[in-house]
Amino acid sequence: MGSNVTLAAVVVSTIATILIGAYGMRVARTTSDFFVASRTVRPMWNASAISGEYLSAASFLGVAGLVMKYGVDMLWYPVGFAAGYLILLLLVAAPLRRFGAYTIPDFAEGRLDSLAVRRLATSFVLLIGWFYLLPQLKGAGVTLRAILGAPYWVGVIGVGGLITANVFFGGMKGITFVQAFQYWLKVTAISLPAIVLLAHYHADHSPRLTVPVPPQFQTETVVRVRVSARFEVDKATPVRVKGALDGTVYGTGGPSPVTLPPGAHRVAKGAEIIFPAGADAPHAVGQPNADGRAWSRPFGPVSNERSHPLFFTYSLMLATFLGTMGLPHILVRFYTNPDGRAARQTTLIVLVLLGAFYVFPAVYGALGRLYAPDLYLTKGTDTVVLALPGRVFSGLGGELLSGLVAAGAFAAFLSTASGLLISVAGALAQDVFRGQVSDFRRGAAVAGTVAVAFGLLVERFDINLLVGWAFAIAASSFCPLLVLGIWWRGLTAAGAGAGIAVGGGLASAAILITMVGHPGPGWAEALLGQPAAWSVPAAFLTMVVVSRLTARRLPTEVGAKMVAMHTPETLGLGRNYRD
Amino acid sequence: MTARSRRRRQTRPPRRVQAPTPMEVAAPPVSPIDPALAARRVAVRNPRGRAARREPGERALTELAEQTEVGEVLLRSLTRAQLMLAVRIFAVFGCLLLGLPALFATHPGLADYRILGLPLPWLLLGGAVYPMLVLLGVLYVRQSERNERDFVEFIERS
Repeated sequence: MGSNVTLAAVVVSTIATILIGAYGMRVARTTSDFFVASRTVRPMWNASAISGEYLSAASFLGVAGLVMKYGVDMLWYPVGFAAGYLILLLLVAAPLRRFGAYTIPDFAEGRLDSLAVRRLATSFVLLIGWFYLLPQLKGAGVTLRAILGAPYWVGVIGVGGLITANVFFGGMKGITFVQAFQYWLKVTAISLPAIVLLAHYHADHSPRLTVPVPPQFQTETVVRVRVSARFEVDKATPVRVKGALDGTVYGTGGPSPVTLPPGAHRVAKGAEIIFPAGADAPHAVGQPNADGRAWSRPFGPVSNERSHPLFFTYSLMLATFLGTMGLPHILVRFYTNPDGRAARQTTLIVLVLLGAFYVFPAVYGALGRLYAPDLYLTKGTDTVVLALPGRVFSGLGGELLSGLVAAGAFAAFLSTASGLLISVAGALAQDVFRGQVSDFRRGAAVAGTVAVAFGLLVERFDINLLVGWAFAIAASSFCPLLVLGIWWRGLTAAGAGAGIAVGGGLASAAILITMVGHPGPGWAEALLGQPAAWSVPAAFLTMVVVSRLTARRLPTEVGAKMVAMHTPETLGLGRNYRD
Repeated sequence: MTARSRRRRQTRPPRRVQAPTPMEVAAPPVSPIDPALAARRVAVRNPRGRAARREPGERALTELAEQTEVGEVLLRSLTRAQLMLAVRIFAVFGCLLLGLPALFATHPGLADYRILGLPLPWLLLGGAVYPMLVLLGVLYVRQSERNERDFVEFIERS
């Protein structure tokens, strides 16, 4: 790792992103171009762009890392990420496109004739957008450290600055091309090495992963410690050490033999530990490595860390299924479809593209257990996708594959973070500033700066946990607004506002308490740790009840709006509620 | 009705293909029209526009556009069909997917089944789910577009 090939791959992927963005820049002229690429994007392009934007650091790195750590339960993350698009297709895609607003605040205002609900929606766009930007920037920081050895802040500021500049100069037309390119780069980067790794696994006589033993080193393994770490071994393990271990400096000449007694140990930055083949892999303090049998079964290792794993699974499913439609950077892409039919086609292609991608992260997670068990020691399971090709293959082949996954990981932060930044910048430009191209640029600069500032602070939070929370807030605020706004005539501005405030507020509060307060084990931890299961029903209920109570203040022209949303364009009854 | 529509047909600007009467079709050798073309049913509906103002289809369209009671009933028929379709697809999706965690929790033995060398939960969550999602999506898109086509045809005919 840290080879020139990897560096070259990252640089090439970045330059390609900038060049494609610059190509799009020449096309983007008017304000409308900047906001929604003039609605001229074909379904295949658009679907690639949506998928490219959607597959974030959480999908590219996080899922594999979680699978390696916790096993099959974590596959609910990618399943939920993909299934969200089915729900979006069923309930939202075509009617929302036909309504013809650019963003969720536009929809809220157009559908409900209320500036107050618009402002509330804007504040949640900013909250969700920034919240979702943090794990992307965290992923960037961690990746640059893993592949280049750079400090955490280099990745955060570097990637944050790059996307801010790209959005600042390119607008969305450029980004559509960039995002489509990013999808194909990412799917190549994850699938090709995975297939080669599977071939290697097969040639290695497919060692069983489900036998009840902890992960073991297959061959003699040199673990280079980049960040000082504490780890535990369960039985006495003979190793050779160079550097500081438990306060003693070993092997000034060469690695010297030491037997690690059972218990906790501290190893300093820059040290090397050489484990013999067949040794059990050490684990981070307090997190015992599950044996293969428990790891491979549902409700395995998760049960040790979560109070009510079944509740967590369902709550997570609800958050991801219903949260996808509420992610600000995803919905805006549906307006670039020419009509409602194209919006449906696009969503369908997205389902295919995401399914093709999500088959692969589990491969890294499972094989990482076999071929990179030292990542348990260094708490580096999030980087298993980056590390694995280099561990299994030596020489140029391994370097090329490592370069490919590094380029894919880079694409993951660049694309998701760009899309989020556009949404946040757009919301700022339209609702906080005035809505001209120069205001969009000002919005981009402000949004990027804020994201980078907070991105520097979240190093200690897990990528997928942050992402799951962003989904929970989106599911609790925007999902009820969209579903009821599209399908129920009786929704009033007061009802929508109250629902967003109650659902989004409760979800945000629960997450804040979990982030700051660390509730102890029990139902409190389960309910606050993933609030979607109760905050989403609360939001729906509030919207319906308050709308019923204020039924005399229905928005104007509800009938015309329903006609516009639900009748096919061929009848020519639609009216654009924004233009 | 037939007489009226024939009269109207005559007042229209000439079209490239004239709709043949049944008698013309029955006597192929004398007809100047290519028999293959003549045998095909040709729609002679007017394009929407000022000339079509008095067409019955336009009336339904106006009902919709102006949200009269009739228009509202028409629209409700479409939205109800689309919503019911979404609910049906969601029910299938729910049974298949939302049932899985409960199934795994109550029947831990399922994890011991292997298909193609993969334990059942891995196979289901790691791969089989995605084609299922696509299949449900295809079913939905086809049926929802059919609902809309039916609606458009109904409006233009009634």
